Amino acid sequence: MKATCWMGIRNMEVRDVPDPKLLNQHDAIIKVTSTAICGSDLHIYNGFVPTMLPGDVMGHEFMGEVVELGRDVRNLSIGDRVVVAFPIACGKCAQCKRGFFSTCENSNPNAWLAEKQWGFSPCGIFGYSHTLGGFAGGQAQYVRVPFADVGALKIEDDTLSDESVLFLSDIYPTGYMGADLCGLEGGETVAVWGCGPVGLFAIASAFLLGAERVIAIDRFEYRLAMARDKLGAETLNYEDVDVHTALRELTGGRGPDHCIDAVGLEGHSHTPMYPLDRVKQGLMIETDRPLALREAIMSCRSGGTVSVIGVYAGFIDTFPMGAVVNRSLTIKSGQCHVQRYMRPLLERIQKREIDPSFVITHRMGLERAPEGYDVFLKKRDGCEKVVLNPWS
Amino acid sequence: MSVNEPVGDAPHRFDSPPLTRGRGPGREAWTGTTEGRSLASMLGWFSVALGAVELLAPRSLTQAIGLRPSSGTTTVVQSMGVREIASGVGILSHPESKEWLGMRVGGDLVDLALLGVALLKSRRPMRTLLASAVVLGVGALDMIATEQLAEARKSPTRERKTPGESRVMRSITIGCPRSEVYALWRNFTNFPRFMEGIESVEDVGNGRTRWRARGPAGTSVEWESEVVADDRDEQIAWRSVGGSDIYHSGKVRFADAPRGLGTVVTVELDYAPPGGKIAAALLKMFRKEPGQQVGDDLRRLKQVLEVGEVLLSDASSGSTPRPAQPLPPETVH
Repeated sequence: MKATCWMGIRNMEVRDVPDPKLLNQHDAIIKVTSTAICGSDLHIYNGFVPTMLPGDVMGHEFMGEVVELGRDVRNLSIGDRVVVAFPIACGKCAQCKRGFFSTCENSNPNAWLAEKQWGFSPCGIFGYSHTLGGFAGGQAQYVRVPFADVGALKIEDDTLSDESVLFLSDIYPTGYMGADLCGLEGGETVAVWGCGPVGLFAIASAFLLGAERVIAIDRFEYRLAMARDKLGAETLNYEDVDVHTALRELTGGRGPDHCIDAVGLEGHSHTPMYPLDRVKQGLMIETDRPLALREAIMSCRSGGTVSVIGVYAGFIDTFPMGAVVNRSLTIKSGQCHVQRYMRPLLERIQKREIDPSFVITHRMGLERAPEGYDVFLKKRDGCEKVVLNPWS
Repeated sequence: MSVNEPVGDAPHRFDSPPLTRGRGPGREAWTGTTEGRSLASMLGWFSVALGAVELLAPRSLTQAIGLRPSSGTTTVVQSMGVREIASGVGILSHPESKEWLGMRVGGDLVDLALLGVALLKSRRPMRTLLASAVVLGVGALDMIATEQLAEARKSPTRERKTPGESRVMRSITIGCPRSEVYALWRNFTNFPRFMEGIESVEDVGNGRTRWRARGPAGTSVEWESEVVADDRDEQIAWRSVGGSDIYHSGKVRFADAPRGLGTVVTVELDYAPPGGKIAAALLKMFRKEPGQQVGDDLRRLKQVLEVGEVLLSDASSGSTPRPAQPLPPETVH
């Protein structure tokens, strides 16, 4: 089959690899009908995610048709149309039972590697490094899905297109969780750093969950335009304005009630902090550049929540802990517990409250995946989200 | 909650000693052993002494290792002296800290690199080589001592191990009743299901089992083991019997986990690693040191009990590191 393989930094290739086989009794094999490139895949593309090996199959956002089932799968049948959650979760361990699926205790065969990086191991993730299990990803024609009963959501409504439900695999629930972690009660002002697809879904979800105003922050005009025109957010271009001052003045001198970091470890800034963080990353004083996170913490209203859904991989420097302590901020974070949100969010899509396909700007065949990565990374051609068809 | 409401539900009591609702007496503190500290102190004094010589008599030292003294070499030797004294003082004031000793290991590498450069312009290469050999020897001691200190901090008790023996202790919480975990463990023939490297366990009667494990480079290791204690749903203890390739003894305890989380399984192993402590230290650098091994095995035991089998990934299903892509058809069983 054809699969997108990471071959080194900024080097993706579509290669012929063996078809996946059932390895465990609770596996399913899915024929992938639609898959997408995630912003977090760009961290791998740029070499910020350790423990990748040349030949690793990429991709954790995908959906398709069940073509083979292990003996212990109960809820699925051959031919079912499914969307697959990016965290691999057993559904049986203490963490899964509490709804913390992305910290499943049984789904990472390389847990020892994760323990060295993070103290304890989270779940395994499709196509996202050997630290997270060494699972082949779904930017391919077929993919093996472990714990298929837990991770694969059946889509029975044929009126819904692939494009409308594909993002239940990651970015829609991830953005939604960003807003959910803020504990909105109604009427709040929320600021969102980053207007990539996850940021846009965080904006949309903050409104759905009762926020009165959402202020979106980015540097690309076309992305800010999407936040403004499609979702009704107010926007700030951080290259033109001082974000802290603007947020303060837009919120009566108090700061946004809650702040969402949808940027993660490769933040940008036009202040000297940016080159300084690049140097620190180069010297391994820090692995991640927390430019958005620092700003979110400094800007948040006292007593508010800073919700971190952008990906961080390791260590950050110059973290404003004083602001967190002295102003009673709460930091909440996590890789999305997709299995917790998939079904209720599917219902919102069915009720036409939202059609997640609005973020798609590029559609191409799987064989053009390397070009997709390049366009997405360089933000060329107004690129917001790339969807790949493995069979075109 | 109003600030005036009382906090907590227990009334104030002045008659019993525990002020908080702990689990009562019997919960011991983790202490760590003091093993390795004397070797560390010795190396600390060595550092200070060598540093003093480097700082005060750089020219003589330079000559002693076969080089012609110059202002350049003097500066280098003196700065190495400052480094030696700094790490020596650190080690002597914190003989329990593997990090200060680790500075010495790093320093040894720097010294070796410098001696390598020096060898190229040495007047008496034999002397320079001899100096390198000394650094290598001391470096080995540094590594062993660092490893000993690291291990000493992982022991729950002050109790010292028998020399030459290593101890490993690992716990895991499994979401099953004690009886179930005990039953699976009691049947030793189940072990190859979750223990990496164990090829077979055979019941040979009289509470004895015969074990066969994969050894290094395609060899296999065999031993016989007997159960020495067996308390239903509480604990099982075993030890290898005479004539086995390797000596080990072990104990597994089963306890109820708090908050209905199932069973806490705690394994303690005492073993004499083949090749002794240095081999154990080297193995650790390649991950498959016994503590890691036991931790990984327990995680697989948890998978067997909670989800019915050990989870494989594309990369983990082979025996060597391989990319995360599906295996070729002929290799899938």
